[in-house]
Amino acid sequence: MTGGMHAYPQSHNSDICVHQAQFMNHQNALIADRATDDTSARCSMLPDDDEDEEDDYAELNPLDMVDVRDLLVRDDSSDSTSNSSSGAGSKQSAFPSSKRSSKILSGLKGGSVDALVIYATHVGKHDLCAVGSFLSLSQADLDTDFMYQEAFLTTYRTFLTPEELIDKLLYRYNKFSHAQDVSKKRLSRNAFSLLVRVVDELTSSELVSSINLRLLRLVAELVREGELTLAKIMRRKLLEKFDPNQKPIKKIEIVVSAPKSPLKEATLIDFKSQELAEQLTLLENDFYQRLELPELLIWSREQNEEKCPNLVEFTEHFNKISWWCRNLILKPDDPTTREKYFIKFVHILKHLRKHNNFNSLLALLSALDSAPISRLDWPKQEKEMIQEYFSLIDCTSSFKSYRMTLAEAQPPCIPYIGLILNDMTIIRVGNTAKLADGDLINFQMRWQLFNVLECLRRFRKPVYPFQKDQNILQFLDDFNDYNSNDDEMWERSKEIKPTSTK
Amino acid sequence: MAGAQNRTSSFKIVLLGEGCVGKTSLVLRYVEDKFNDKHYSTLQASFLTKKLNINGSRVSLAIWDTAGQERFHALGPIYYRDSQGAILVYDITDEDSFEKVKMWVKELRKMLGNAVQLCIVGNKIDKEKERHVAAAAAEEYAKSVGAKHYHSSAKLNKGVEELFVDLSKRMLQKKLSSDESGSDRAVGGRGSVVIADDSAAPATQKKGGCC
Repeated sequence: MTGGMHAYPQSHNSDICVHQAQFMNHQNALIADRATDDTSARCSMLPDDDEDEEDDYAELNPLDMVDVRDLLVRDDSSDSTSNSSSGAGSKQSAFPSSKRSSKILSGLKGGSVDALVIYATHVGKHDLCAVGSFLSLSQADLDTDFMYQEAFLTTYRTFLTPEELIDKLLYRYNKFSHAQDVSKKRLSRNAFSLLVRVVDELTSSELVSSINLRLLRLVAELVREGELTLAKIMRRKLLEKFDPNQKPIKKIEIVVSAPKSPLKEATLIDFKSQELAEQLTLLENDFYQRLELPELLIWSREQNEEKCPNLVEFTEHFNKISWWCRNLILKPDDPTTREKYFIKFVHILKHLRKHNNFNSLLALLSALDSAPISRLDWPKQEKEMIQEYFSLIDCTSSFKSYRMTLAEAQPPCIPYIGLILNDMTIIRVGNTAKLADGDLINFQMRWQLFNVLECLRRFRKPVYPFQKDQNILQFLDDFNDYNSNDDEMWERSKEIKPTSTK
Repeated sequence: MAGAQNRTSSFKIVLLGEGCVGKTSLVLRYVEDKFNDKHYSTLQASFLTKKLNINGSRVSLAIWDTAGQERFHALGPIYYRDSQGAILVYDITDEDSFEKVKMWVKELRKMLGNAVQLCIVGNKIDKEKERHVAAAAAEEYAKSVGAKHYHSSAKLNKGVEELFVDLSKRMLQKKLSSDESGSDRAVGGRGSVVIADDSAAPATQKKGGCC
């Protein structure tokens, strides 16, 4: 085994349950090693001037290509929209200039599936450069290159199944892993790095047995070939994926504590609005954190419930909160009690807004705005307060005021997921999957999808600093057992205030 | 009287229906004519506006496409808030999607009464061979609930323009007749705002800012 492999630090083997962040350090270390022990790294940046290039090209598998930059379709000034036209001219510089590099990314229109896959593996090279800092790439270029890989990982499922991608990366890994040339060997390492990311981001419904077997076999092969470090990395990833205790977020458990009966008697009014809003936010956040981003991607295309279990739960929770609110307000026979509930919910809204929990806010707002409730008489002041929230989520100009509020919101924040699904659905219907001139993937559409999902990812990172309050959680009881029958709500509303007086 | 003729009438239309029945395709086809040569590239898309001219009356449509949000059932009231028109879309090859339309009709009628103009649209008539919802039954149902039935194919650009223009006429008519009953100012002949059958529609302009 030559190259940076053995130089790879061996100090990470203590803990099987390594975190993603640690893993990234791992990768960087790997890259740093390679950078320092191999100054010929620059040469590999050149599209085609390796001596033994031709041998490799003879097989004609696109996945064998060393560099695919010239196969990507860019939206640059010369309007070169076909593969061939950009081939000759772009070889003049040894290193991609800042200008060229950013052009590649900002204007990357698309490419063949294989070219996009290979390009996603290239990021490793730039990382290498970043660490060794001997290339004149600006930080902005590196950032955009990195963004491409992120965008690819986030959206590849729109043109490639995880299994197909794994196959391609394995092919590329195997193709170059025995190469003598260090720069070529690096291609195989880059493919492997991307493979680890792909495995890391597989959703629970994607961990089908065929993929599992494939990866387990890979680990065995790596061990046999003496690639112990790589074997270890992959094995660790797999363990993380299969160990249920490694699931990052566990559902909030409601502890049914001793004094059950008095709590059963408790009413919403007994709790502070602020505390209720905090617990509602914790519950909402629980569902929110369990959403897997690929689910949203799948939903925007086929609305497949089996493939999107967490999303389905999430929306059910949303609906349940709304029905819970309607029930509580309409149920009491005494008008004063009903009014108290109404006022209480308006106060809760205020706190939800403060915590940027737009999702629960909208669920409650839809309840207060439902005809059976809104047709009844409520205190003027609270009615006016609600109006403010309506103007926030006014759909005119495509939710302009909501989007602006969201743009300024500081995480943690739970955006309204429905609008994210709406945006993604429209992006997918309104754009073609392929570029007009053939079989090439339209990556611009994927950039748009990526942007939508990226915003969600950003908001998800920080956690809410609230403590669980078992009394309130027990009182809320997952919002079970509330009537979700519109007709009955309507009947109840008419009982309270007959229609004739409407 | 002169005022009613010259002012722009603004209407909000909401598109409802099961997922994947083609709501977005219909709107994009109508507003942008971008179903086939798709290069649609703005995020600000869920609420589109279209201006048209109906017999000298200026109409501005604000169309809200709820696609992707179908499972957020509880959100109904927010969806159809302040709508003068609702387009309930089903896929002629999918019976369940027609049942979903019936549920929406029930809810809208109950919540908004007759203030809203309902359109029931059987989309994807390019797949006539796979039809699972009988046209006659659908039309009869629409009639029974005071809605109008249309057929469309966003893919072939069939029936799309007609749908929106016809709905605009109905909303305009409703508005004028309620204006009329509200005040004593007569607009044209009493109770009969005649809208001639010429489609003077294509005064199209997408406007970013909304008023």
